[in-house]
Amino acid sequence: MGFFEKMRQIDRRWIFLAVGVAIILPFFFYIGLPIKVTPEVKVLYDSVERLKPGDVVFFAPEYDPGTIPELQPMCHAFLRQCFSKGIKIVAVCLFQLGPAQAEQDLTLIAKEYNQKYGVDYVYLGYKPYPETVILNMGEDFRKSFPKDYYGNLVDTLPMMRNLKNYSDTKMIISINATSGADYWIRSAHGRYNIPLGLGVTAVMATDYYTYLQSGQLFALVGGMKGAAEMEQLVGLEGKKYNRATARMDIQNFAHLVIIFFVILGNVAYFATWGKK
Amino acid sequence: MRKEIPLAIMLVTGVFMAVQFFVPHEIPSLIYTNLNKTVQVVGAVALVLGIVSILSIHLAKIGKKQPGFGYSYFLIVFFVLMASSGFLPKSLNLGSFLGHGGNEEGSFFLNMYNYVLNPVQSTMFALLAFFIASAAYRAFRARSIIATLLLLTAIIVMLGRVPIGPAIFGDWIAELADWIMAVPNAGAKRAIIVGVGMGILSLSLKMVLGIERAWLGGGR
Repeated sequence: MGFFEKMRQIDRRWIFLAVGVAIILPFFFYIGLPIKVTPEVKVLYDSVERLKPGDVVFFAPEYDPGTIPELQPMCHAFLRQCFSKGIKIVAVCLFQLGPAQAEQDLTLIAKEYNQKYGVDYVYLGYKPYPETVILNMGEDFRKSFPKDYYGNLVDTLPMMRNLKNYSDTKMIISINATSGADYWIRSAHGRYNIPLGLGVTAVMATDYYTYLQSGQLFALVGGMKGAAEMEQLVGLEGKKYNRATARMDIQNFAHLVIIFFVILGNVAYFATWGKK
Repeated sequence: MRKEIPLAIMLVTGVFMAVQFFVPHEIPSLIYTNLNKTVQVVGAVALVLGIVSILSIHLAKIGKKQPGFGYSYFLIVFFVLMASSGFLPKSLNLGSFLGHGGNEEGSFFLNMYNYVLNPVQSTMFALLAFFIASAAYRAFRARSIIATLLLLTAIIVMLGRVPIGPAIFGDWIAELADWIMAVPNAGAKRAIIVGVGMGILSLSLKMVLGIERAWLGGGR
């Protein structure tokens, strides 16, 4: 059996090994290639920069542990930008696997910037049936959330006294790993016409370019690359502030290995053309 | 009457929900909000049905000792643990290892989330990279013009969307990848979305007008 025939029938465990090595190696060797910021990410950063201290942003971090590597860095970068400028956050999570994740992200970044719960940020928590909840919040947040995640009456929180619905916020940002992103487009932007920005996984990003072009989204942050762009824009020094940027090395190598195997597979396919 | 009443409810509700969108008045808004709340109530009932269904299937599997019944024990134990962790009162202390009640830092609920659900889900998702690589090696073959186009597009996007692509080939590859995403990809996606939207609209109209009656069930 020739080399190419062997390649056609390669044991998939060799491919697993190569991918494993490509993922592990960059942990030890930081390359840090320059990351070009795309307009769809820059517009989110610029929009937040234009806000004044005290302005309120409605935030929906809706992702589960499986998508943490891609979505948590963009969530943290966004929260750091907001809290560093004194922008207030009202958050919800309408994805059943995400409420605990969202709570931890908010608490962690709020602590970094000494933000006080109820004054600088509020977390309303989870309610089932996202589209219905999104629609109800457009009338009044209290219709779906009379109490927050911790069981406090929403009206007892100082920040919520002057907040009735989306129209009291400057924009909605949803960092989303689910089809719930569609609900925000359809029901929050579509019905209440609030500027909406999305952060999604790289796989999902292809689905949402069309909404970006139609103006239904004003910003789109896609995958780890988008998260790395956010980190570059926020511009904080240090490893813990630039996790997506560091992980781009891993993605570089993993993509190269996959492309190598795809090319190798095709060369082997054509070299053994017509042979059994 | 078994058919007429549901059809009448469907007609009135469907027409109301379509019209209220264009009526900025508090009465339609109030009815609309209450109808939305009804959806949540119906959903809560469906949740109970779901729980009863999943538990009865797995209890039956254990009872009959069907193949793989051992996994059903895990499902039931962790189902009960995870669900009950959300109901524990804040004042309850389960010790330093398990944590306390409530849903804040150090709670049993968050410990279950961080130390059970989190690693399990992350592991499952991480395995995808290996299977995608293996599948790409076997499936991405330039067997036809369309397959070749798909192959080339995949390679360009994979290189153009990570920094190493422009570092090796120059900025053109990133620009080409962006163009693929913004023009052919978005165009095709838009066609699918508009097509699906028109389909939903026509089916909804058929249901509201009583032409489509499969949702009534029965079959006769």
